[in-house]
Amino acid sequence: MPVPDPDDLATLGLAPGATLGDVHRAWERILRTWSPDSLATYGLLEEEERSEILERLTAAHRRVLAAFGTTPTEPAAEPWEPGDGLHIVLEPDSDHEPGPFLRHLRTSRGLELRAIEKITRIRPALLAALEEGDASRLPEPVFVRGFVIAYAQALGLPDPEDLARTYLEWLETRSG
Amino acid sequence: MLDHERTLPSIWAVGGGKGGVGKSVIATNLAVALARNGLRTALVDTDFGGGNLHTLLGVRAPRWTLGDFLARNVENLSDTMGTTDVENLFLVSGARTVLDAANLKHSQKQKVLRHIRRLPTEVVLLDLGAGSSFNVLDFFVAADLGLMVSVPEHTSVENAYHFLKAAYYRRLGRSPHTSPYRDLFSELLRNRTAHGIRTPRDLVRVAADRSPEVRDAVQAGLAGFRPVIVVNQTELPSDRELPEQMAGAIREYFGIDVTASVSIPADRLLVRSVRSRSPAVELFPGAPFSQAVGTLASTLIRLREASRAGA
Repeated sequence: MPVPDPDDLATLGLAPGATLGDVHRAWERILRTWSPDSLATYGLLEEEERSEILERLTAAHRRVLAAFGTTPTEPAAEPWEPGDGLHIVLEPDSDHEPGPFLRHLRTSRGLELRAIEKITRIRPALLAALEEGDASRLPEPVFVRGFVIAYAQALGLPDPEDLARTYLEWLETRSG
Repeated sequence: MLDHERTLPSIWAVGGGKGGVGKSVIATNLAVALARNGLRTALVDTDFGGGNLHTLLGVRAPRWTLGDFLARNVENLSDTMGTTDVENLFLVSGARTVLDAANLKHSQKQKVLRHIRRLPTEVVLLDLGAGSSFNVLDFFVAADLGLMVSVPEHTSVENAYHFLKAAYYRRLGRSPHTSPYRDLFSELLRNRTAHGIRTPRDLVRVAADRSPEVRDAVQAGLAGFRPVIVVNQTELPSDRELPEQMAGAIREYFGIDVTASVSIPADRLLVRSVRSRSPAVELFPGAPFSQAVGTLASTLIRLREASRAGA
């Protein structure tokens, strides 16, 4: 089995000799660090930079996992604490696919994309791509998941995790 | 002892942009912990004007202050070193320094730094003022090691990064290694969009593409610029992970490693310590805050010994 590249390990904040468990823990921390609502990167960068850095980290993560003879899996669900946003019980259904559903909720409250940007710090162009479900303008699924959760939280949705799952399935059917 | 007969002190600076994050309390307690570990330590209050470290230490304001040194009332900075109740701990007070820090001339700053490097101690701990003014930055950048203190709040983290960005560019701009390339850096930063420069790391990469000499100069200029990330007043599990997350963010964004990332827990006993004008590490040595500061002191001492052994 090939040994992980020390530079890739360093990119993930790991030293040579790190175990697969270390890699998983480091990756979970990286996802928390670079999620759009992260405190650890607040005021540091624009969404474009965030996407670029995430791509670099994702590539390093894939190569390290490949060296261990495995592939990325969906990150474990994180506990969601309800914010103080308005709670509603609408759910995406056949009339409302997840992307248009987000847009519907937003516009029905008279909110511009800029307003969502202010809360989530996600660029309006990226928010629009999320609403349209345009995979060509969206990053890796793990990051789309983070963006959808942030967007859903901003709207005060009761179960952002669940919406993110539905969303990713929907995105897959569209691009597939 | 003559200057050249003893080793020069390690200079450690405590800064971090925002006021009210506990810089002075951490600097004071860290200084006490270092002294209690047997290191001759000078705590220097460079918060010109607002200095009140003597109050945190519970000692009278020393007879002479940094202001007296700047006003040439005393010849040497070491003349202003006052003793404290803690063995091995000395205080250079910034109290009653009427000079506005913003008005500190370059020559005065250089003089203070020169004297700081010659203080007859093993460690000099600088308590920097708030903000990212050139004075604060220059002390942070000149130090052997910079501790960047923040709290788990958006405003504080934002200020900390602003501070670090400013210190990073200051370090690159002020380094003798990079001075032949100052015009190049100015040009790159002026046209950063055209050059695809978004992060400090991009700047270094683009500069390196220009020539191997530029790359080497940049690397030499940044050598040893490895701050310690301190997050104070942590309460939640996510707070405690924050320093490590910030270290990862700094590695990606700036392309630099941090020396250590440290979480210091919020501690109600601290209020009592400040009110009774006695450092927490003395008054409540078993408290979580004191334990965390003690660990930080041990880490710094170990690093110092390792770097001395390697030097």
